[in-house]
Amino acid sequence: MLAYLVRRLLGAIPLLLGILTLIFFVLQLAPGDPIAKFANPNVSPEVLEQMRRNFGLDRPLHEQYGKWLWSFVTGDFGYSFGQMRPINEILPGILWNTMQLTLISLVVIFVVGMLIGIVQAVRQYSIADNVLTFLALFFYSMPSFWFALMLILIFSLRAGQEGWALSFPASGMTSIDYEYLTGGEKFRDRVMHLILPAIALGIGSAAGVARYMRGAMLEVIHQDFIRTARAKGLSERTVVFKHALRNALIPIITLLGLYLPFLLSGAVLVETIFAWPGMGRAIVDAILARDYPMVMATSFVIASMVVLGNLLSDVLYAVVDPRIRND
Amino acid sequence: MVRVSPDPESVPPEPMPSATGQELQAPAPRRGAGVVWGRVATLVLAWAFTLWVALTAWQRHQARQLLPEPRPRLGWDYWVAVVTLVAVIAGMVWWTWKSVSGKQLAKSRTRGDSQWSIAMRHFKKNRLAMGGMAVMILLYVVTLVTPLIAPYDPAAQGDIITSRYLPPSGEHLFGTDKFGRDIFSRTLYGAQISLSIGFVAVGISITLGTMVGALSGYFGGWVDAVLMRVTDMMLAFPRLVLLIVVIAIFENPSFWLVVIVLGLTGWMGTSRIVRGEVLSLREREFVQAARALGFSDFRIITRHVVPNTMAPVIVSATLGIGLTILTEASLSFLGLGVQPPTPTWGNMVADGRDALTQAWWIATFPGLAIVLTVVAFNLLGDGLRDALDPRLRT
Repeated sequence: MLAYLVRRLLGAIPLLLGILTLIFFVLQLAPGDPIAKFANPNVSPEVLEQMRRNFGLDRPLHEQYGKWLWSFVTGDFGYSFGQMRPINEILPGILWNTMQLTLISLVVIFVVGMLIGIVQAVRQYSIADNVLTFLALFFYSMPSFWFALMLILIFSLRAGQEGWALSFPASGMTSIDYEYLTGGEKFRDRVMHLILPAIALGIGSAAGVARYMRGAMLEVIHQDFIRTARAKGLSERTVVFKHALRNALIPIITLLGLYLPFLLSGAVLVETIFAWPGMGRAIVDAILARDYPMVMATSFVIASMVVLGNLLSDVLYAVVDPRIRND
Repeated sequence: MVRVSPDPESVPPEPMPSATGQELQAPAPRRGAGVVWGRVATLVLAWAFTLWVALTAWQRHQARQLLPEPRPRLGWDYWVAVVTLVAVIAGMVWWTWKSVSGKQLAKSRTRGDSQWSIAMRHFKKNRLAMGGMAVMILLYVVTLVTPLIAPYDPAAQGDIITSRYLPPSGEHLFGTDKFGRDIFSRTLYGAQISLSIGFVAVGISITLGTMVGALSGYFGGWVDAVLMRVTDMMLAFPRLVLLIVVIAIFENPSFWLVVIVLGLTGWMGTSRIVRGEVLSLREREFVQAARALGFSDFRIITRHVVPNTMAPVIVSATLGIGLTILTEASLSFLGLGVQPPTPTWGNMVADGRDALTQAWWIATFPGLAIVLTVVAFNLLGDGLRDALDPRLRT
């Protein structure tokens, strides 16, 4: 097991280096350089040239690349021209915000998706199965940004106008008067702000999980050991949740790694819509502000999160299925 | 994933057509009538749609004739629309004749049993997938004939005081936006962008993906190692993040830039599928035979290996079109796709976002159009997968 883990970890290193290289050269293709942002009639060309020299932008490409790579490897992400702060100061905060959103979404995805998938598999070809299959397809095909807007329209704007009991805030992580709330109210405020974005982010993937779960459960539920379990006189609940579910879970674990890129892509849109101060919004803002160091840092962190997630799901898969790690 | 047991859902072997030309049928006596009525209903609906399009086009033409003399010039898309309309009517006549003529019906039952015709029979039984295909055909036809049937010019701004933010009504089916532009017409024209981007980008990505996968699987060794590492690397980026980084570094992305970048970032899934298929195909006897005959690697790959990987590629392409349309809409929504004033579904939803409180219809209808399109492609893709490869069913 340990050898497997080490092998996988070592395999991730060239991957990360490749990702860094890709980011560097894609941004080299960009017209202009980071200094172009400061160019205006009030700044003389000599000053720009001086700035270029200060940032090392006049060095040959391979030297820039080597230096840049080294600073990334040693954990120095540079300086954000957009926010005029070192990126290392900005990154932990926005990373944590995105993690909150993504993790809650993951929970939503797997709990909802698996429950629906189980219901569908146990009642195969019933009306409930057909309706749920179609609903899953519908949500799976829905653009998350549009669904987010519809959620805001109904559960935030309309609910606020009509004075429904359940009305959710439409943007941000906390209310304006957050600082004046007591501990319990603070927690409630955060949860209320989290619900709509988490649903908007998770629903498409939950539908995907439901589709896989249905397939996986169906495959297991027709096997002989399930018939044996039923013949022993076990209750249906025990059969479904203890015997069938455990075996159906094995392929579902790989989905964990598969859905992480989707979630992070979705986070870009959902965070922009809900004004959630996370990685996705940071990268969009950085792009619009032509803040290249920030773009490099955030896209690298996002890509490494994906690599890490894949690694995690592979390891989990090896834990539950011994056949994998032995070959 | 290791499959321990035979798939319980796998389809029973297809009934072979018997010598008399009659298919063996499961004992379902009442079913035949339903199938016939279903066919008649489809035909009638299709004719109704065609006639509606033709009639609307005629009305628009009449209205155009009434305009004062220096009339606006007709673009090439207008003539494409006219040709499409004629082709659709011809196709409908042919289809109707085929459905009612007894000779044709008898002929269609005695076909050979190639892989594709078996898949075709499976596919035809899948009503949801047929529905998906119908919607897809409908969408492409509507896209092509849009200049004939759109009630308004998508860029024409109405009177800013009397015609902005009008709710849906008989005159403006989906309402108007903040410039008084007709949302229905804009949704129709937006379909042109979405559908053509989806089609072309997926064309690029499956070509590239098949090439990479075939090379990697066929040659193995270091070629395989390098190509697969590159694939892994591309997969590690969430597609949208990669796209916005690449597109944003160009000022004012054009239609072709968006298409090419979407195509270049979507090939990884296909290449993995093709590689897997090729790995098993290259050990087969027919490939060895081709090699023994002294054919070049190029010929073996293009003539013998790649055609046998087409079934899963077609499935992934169909599902990929849906996904690409979603991604393109997301890009447009962020303002990084095809730029306004060209209407795309994504930038229409983004417009609607600014006016969500006063005009819900602006964001709602383009969004529904996206959902409808993507649902259709997903149904079609699922149906094709079931038909072409029962092992892959989920």
